[in-house]
Formats: sequence, structure tokens, C-alpha cells
Amino acid sequence: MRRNLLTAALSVLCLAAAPLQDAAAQDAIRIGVITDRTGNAAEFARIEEQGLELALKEINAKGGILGRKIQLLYEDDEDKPALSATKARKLSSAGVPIIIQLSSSTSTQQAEAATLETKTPHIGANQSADTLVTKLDNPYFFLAGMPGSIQFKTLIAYTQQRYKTAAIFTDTSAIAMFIAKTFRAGLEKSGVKIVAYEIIETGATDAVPQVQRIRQAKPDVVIDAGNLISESATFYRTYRQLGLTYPVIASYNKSIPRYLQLVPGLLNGVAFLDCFDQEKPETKAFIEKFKAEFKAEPFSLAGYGYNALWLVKDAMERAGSTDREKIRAALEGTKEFPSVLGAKGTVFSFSAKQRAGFPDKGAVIRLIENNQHGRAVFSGY
Amino acid sequence: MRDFLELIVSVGEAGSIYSLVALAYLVALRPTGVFNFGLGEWAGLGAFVGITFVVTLGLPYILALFPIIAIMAMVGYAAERLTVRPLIERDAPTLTPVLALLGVLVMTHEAIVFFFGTSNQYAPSPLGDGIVALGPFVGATQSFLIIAVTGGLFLGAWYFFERTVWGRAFEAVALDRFAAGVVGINLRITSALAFAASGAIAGLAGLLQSPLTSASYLMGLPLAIKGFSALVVGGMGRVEGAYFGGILLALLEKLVLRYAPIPAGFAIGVPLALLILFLLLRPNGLLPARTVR
Repeated sequence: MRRNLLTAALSVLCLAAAPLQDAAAQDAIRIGVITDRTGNAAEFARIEEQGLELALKEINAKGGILGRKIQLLYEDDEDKPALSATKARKLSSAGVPIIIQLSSSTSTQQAEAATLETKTPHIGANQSADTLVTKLDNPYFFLAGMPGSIQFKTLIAYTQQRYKTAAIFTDTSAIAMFIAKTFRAGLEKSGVKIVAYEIIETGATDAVPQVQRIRQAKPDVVIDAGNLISESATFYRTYRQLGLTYPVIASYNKSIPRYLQLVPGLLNGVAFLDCFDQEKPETKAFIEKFKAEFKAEPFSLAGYGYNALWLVKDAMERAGSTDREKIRAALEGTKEFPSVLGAKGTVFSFSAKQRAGFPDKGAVIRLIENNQHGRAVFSGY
Repeated sequence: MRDFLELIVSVGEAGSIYSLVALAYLVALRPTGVFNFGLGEWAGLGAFVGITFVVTLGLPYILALFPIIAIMAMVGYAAERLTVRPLIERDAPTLTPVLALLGVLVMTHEAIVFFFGTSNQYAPSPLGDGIVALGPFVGATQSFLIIAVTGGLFLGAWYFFERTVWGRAFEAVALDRFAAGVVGINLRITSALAFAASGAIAGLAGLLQSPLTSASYLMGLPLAIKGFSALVVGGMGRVEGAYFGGILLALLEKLVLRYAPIPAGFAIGVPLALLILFLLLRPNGLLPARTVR
């Protein structure tokens, strides 16, 4: 009898609570997220989403935004530019006040057309193409990724201040060719002589001919502009196998820990570009919180998701509303936002003329030490 | 001189991988007349299956080889049983099984993505990651292992096809499928075994390559192209042809990339241009197929 009474009481409570839960869910602010969970970059999307989810948990634990909980409404553009605009329109139609995009620059460029058309504030969380804020005059779009121009300025300054000659290694992917070409032009302009320019072919089992040519050229430094993971692994295996000891400077691609797992120990001493400075207090705190939440060491990609959602919170609270126009204006007014990204002492700011918020001198050069991403040794340019 | 000797090891290693894939093509092609362009994906699958047994399950490499090869042989057998055989028995045009096997290629690729993901995976070398010197030749231990295993496998394959009754049966089916059937050679078993062997050899190629490059869901296509090129260059009828075709292809690649005074971007295409020239001079490749004697 008592058991029946208890069951009945619990049922009544549940029935009573259900509308409340529904009301809370309806009252929550839904933030749109375009990600690429099923494309070539799916592995990276998950890490960025983890950063986003950590920020979501923290923000909701502190009462949400404007006194309301927040929810994330995900759409997967599969890293296909053709799908990206459709996903942005879908999210706009669903009434989200703002969209965060975690997919590639080309996909984001397409989505921008839709957010301009629907007048939806749109944050590119992780992209690097400068053209995202120059190609289309879209006052609703804000780039929170580390722009390529800043990456190159930093890498070239670091190289030019230390070395007179360089060899460039790259692969046949479009991104790698672009990085290598930009490197070459920038280094030559700054007075560094390029003594070898080697390309490793897709599917190569080793890079013996290319590394031999680098050895013959006797450069002061080797610039790693590679992008394809297998080919990069092959290059480093051969580089160490043939006994080369020239210092290596690598692009942002080597900030992905996957390389450390594929060629353990072979990247020690490599200097690489990053947007993550472990000595920055905000970054340090983020790393600890991430480790506690996911039992894994984060790297810069996780910071992108985390950074974007906190930028949204900051803007919406200053806007005091979920109105898209007010949020856009508030984002544009973002000043000295203390981000987990960027070198120690640098902050994010947006303006009508500067819709890329990453700090101009925020990129850092870090060393790989003991097969781990180690200390930052240089920043700015 | 040091450069040249290093390059020779590199040619031996890359050429051996190309030769293995060419042999995988050849073994299935001879008794069935069917090109299986999905072999590259099978090589990729072999690499991932290898990682599953060696890294995930922690089996010693030598023990892991048996299930890896068995699984890859089963993949080959299943492809023959489910796509090639029914089509050949229904007198489908020659290109129909090729198309069906392209379907198998896509399915294998998607299966790799589904089960193993899009992240590259570390593949350990059975002999470790060290460097070894054999006389004046210096290279990675894995490079020498690849050269040795491939050499042994080709010797075995040559012996099988040239000196055993079963090998002769394969050859007879290759020369005249109808006549071979008339004289009592079991065409079904021959074709099934050929595809099983082809799957196992392709898987072995991927397994051997992965410690050098890591295992990647994208590793199949370049292997399929290089192996096919080696097959055509070597001549599509002889085991020795597959071997020498692979070595010649790798030799051209490495020499051009190392010594040709042309920009790196162009150097990558030169070996294939030279191969076209070679085929214009020798359309049947290095070692043409045998004809009825």
C-alpha cells in the first residue's frame, strides 16, 4: 500500500515537473553551431566541440546569459561548402540569435552569404583565411580564428631574425602549396635566401631524394610547410634517418598532437606556430578545467570553441538582449576581451573596420620538447 | 656515392611496395581477366587490420600475421564470390565485374572510415624504428624488411606459377578459360583462390608500408595507381614483370626527384611521362605475357 502511494506521489511530481522542464527548455537561448562532424576534419571538429561544451557548462553553471540557460543547436556541414550556406539558413530560420561556425574557411565563406542575407550574427571560431573579412562586406560576420596573415608575419619574423638561408619542404595539397608559396615570397622579401624547395609526392613511402637535396643545399633552417599527415610523418622519418640536424620551423599544422603520436620523438626541437600560450593565465586555467572535464590534454583547437562561446556571452550581455541587431553591434564593440587564445598579455577586440579579433601580435612560436608541445619562445613580429 | 646508396635502398623499398600491389592485381587478373582497382583500399584495410591486432589487441607481430592475412584473404574471397563470379557465370561483359569491384572499392573505403576513422594511426615496425647498415647500404629497418619480404614472396609466387600443378592450372585458365574448364580445371576454385591471394598480398603491402607512413584512410588510391603502373610497365602476364615493373617505376621516380634539374613540382610528373614514353616503345611492357605454346 505504502509502495503504491509512493509511486502515485512520484508520478504526480513528475507530471507537475514536466511542464516546468519544458518551460525551462523553451526559455533557454539556443545558439546555432555549424560544425563538420562527418567530413575529412571530423577528428578536429570533436575537439573544438569539446571546448564549446566546456564553455556551455561553465556559463550555465553561472546562471547562463541574461538569466537564461543556453543550449547549442548543432548543424553538420560535412566540411562541404555547398552545404554550409543551407545549414546557416536553417539555423537562422530556427530563430537562433547567433551562429558559431567550427568548419573550414571555404565552408564558412559560403555560410557568410547566408548570414548576411538573413542578418544573423556569425562568428567564425577557428578559420584562418583573411578573405573571410575582406571578400564580402558582411557586418554580421566576425572572425575569431588566427588569420593567416598574422601567422605568416610571425613565422617570417622568427625565421628572418635568426637565419640567412632556408630550405622549404611541402606536399602536394592545395593548402601546403599555398603555405609554401607564401613562405617563399615572404622570406625572400625579408632577405632570407631559399636554397632548396622540395615537394613530397602523395603516397610516398619515404622522402630520401628530397631530404638529400636539402642536405646538399646546406640551409641554416628547414621550413616545414607540409599539411598532409602521412607525408609529413614520412618526411620526418627520412629527415632523422639521413641524420639531418638543421633546425626546423613548422607552420600551425604541427600544433596538432597527432604528429607526435605518429612519429614519436622525431619532432623534438621543431619550432612551430601556435595560438596557445601555456604561460598565459587564462590559457593555463582553461587547460586545467579541460583536463578535469575530459581527462585529456587540450590543444589550441579546443580553445577556439571555448573562446567563441565566451565571446557570445560577453556580447549578448552587453547587448542586454537576444535581438540579432543588438548582438551584432555589441560584438562589433568587443574590446580587450581576455581570451584563452593568443600570446600572454594579448586580448581580442573587434570594430567596424576590424572584424578579425585575434590579437595582431598574438601568435606564438613554441618548441616541441620531450615529444610534447612545449614552451613559447617567441611572439609577435 | 653515399647519396646513391641511400637512394638504392629507397628504390628497393618503394619499388617493393609497388611490386606487391602489382602482383595482387596480376594474381586476380590472370585467371579472371578482371582488373580490381579496389586493391589500394584493400592495402589500406590491411594496414588498419594490422594495427588492430598488433596495437589494440597487443598480439606479437609474428602471431598477428596469421589472422591479418586470413582476414584479407577472406575479403578477397568474398569480393569474388559476391561480385565477380555471379557476373562471369552470367556472361556479363568484361567491364561489368570491373564496375562491380569499383563498388567494392567504395564500400571498403567507407568501411575503413566507419571502423577506423579519418585520423592517421601509428603503425609500429616489427623490427623497431631503427636504422641498419648492410655493407655500404644504410636505411630504415622497415625498408630492409620490406625488400626481404617482397623478394621472398616473389620467389615463392614464381615457384608456384612455374613449378607446381596448381600454378600451371592458374596459367592454363589465364591462357584459355574455356579450354581449361574442358580439361577439368575447377574454374570456380581457381578464381576464388586467386582473389583470396590477391586480397592477402594487397593487405600485406599496406601492412608493410604503414610503419613508414602511418595508416591512413587515404593511403589506398596512390597505392592503386602506383601498383597498376608497375603492372603495366612490367607486362601484365608474368610474376617477374610485376616485380621489375615496380622497381623500374621507383627507380625512375627517385632518380628524377633527386637529380633532375627541374623544379620540384614538375619533377613529380616526370616519371609517369617517361613511363608513357617507355610504353610507346614497348607496348607490352618489360616482360610480355606468355602465349599458347
